[in-house]
Amino acid sequence: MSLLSLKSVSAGYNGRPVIDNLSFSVEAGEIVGVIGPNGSGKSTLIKAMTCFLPLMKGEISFKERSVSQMPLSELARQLAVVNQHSSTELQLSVAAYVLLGRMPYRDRWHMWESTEDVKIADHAMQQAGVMQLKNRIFSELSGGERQSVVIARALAQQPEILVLDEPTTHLDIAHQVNLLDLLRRLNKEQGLTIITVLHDLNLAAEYCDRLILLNKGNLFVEGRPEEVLSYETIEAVYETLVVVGKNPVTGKPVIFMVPEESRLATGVMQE
Amino acid sequence: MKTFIRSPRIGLLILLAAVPVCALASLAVGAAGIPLPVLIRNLSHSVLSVEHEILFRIRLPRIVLAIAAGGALSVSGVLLQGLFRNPLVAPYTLGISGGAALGVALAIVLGLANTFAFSLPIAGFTGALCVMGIIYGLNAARRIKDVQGMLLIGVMISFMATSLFMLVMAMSRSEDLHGIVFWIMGSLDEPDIRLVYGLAVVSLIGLGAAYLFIRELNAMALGEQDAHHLGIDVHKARKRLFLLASILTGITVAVTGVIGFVGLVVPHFVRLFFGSDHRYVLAGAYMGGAVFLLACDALARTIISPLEMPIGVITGLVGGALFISALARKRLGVG
Repeated sequence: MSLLSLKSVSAGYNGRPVIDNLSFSVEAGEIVGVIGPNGSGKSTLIKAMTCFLPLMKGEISFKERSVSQMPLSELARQLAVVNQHSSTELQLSVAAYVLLGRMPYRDRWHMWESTEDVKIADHAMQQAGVMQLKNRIFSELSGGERQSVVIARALAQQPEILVLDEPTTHLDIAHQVNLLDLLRRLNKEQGLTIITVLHDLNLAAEYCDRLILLNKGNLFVEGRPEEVLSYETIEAVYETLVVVGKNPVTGKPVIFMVPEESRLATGVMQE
Repeated sequence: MKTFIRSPRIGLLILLAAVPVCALASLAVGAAGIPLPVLIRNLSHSVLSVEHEILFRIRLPRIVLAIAAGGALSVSGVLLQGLFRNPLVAPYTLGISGGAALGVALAIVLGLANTFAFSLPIAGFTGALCVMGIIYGLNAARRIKDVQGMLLIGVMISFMATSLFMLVMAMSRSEDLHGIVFWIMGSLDEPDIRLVYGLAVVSLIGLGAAYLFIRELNAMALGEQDAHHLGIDVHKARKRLFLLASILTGITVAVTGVIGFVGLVVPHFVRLFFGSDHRYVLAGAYMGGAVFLLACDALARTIISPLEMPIGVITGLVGGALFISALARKRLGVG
């Protein structure tokens, strides 16, 4: 039984589908990377998968249950989302921010978090490695710190699936690696299932068990990074010339770009 | 900008103390100077005297009204600023006051002013209700895509209501004009004690109701998409918060007329001091609004005594100056 499965899902804006007839499934304990060029429907897919965007067609089910039939707070207990655009203006302490992740567990008559909630939030901060930021103000954090704190909040939701939309954007390479290392650890140690949109194909190759490559709203190919990231596929989808090599340490595929000058000089284009 | 959010509870306690202090101070000042000993004697015993009459028949209702109106407008401002995630939104931005003013002006021009009990408040509230209904209806029919669209439509309706209001003014007789202008400037001088205590109850119920939307308000501060992912039905929340805020504003405006700036400035300052957690911001805004309006009213009654300044003039001047100084400090990075 798949944890999450999409069956011929179409979704989009103003009656025009951005993703069209998409089907795939995610097994428990996987790290799945969603990749594709700009405008291929990655973010739309995330929005549809998390019920933020109503489906035009098809069905998404979580443990055989239709996601659109689930109450939103129940969905939030199963599936946590780290958004691409989170508010940075919040005048909240990090501890208070992470506690927001306990919201799906309370109804409107319970205004304050229980000691249990505080314990879970503390644990989430420990896991995300942001315990030392506990008393800092959210809006005063650096981009990298903020992203880890957002992940701590998502962990406080105690979800089975963590969905991330380009979590490494705006981060330097050290923070990118730290963040993805953290996701890997959560996945290994707790069996957290992770679905993440990634722009950087090399990071996707390095950290994901399986890749889903979207092109123009359709699933172009899916499979292990070695299968998906061939130069034929990348050139066909991204319409640019690349060379695919191997990371000498991990053996995972590495994509090298070829600038126009070198293309002309070496005559690769003619091949 | 630095905030004092590490101690919002202390801030609440300070405000809680400030409300009775300001109320007492406000009780003591006015055209008829009442010395403190006389004031205290009148408060502790019931004596039949002129001072007693002034204190309990004139000043006390005013104070209650200042607290209720200040609280209601500020809470409404917090709700709308939270809903639209825009610190420049005020209870009047969406045309609620424009609708109320139009309703009152029409009632005066049509000669309904003194035909039945509470005619002007009812006319004002009806006007506010119409504006509210248009915005709510468009939103409920999902004709409005997002909160920004809702805000823009509110602003446009506000302009239209103001234009119609001016049309009514242009066509009205000069004796009616006076009544309209007097009403639009807003006043805490409400002769009917039932309206005063009615508004006090409504404002407290409004505050209590706002606390039922704590999850929505706190989640929506992250943005609508994040709120959704925390299990909040954003569309429903939008409708309910808008309804609560506009009913609160509509009733307040119907009783006091248009008192500007409270609902804009006070929430802003409360957030500055209390941070983004609405559990503190809401109570802080109610008390902050009460203190602000009490202080402005005391000023309005004394500054050109024995005459009175319109309260809206004071709230606008004081509030505007405070707002500008806060923004300027933010620019300069001080504080």
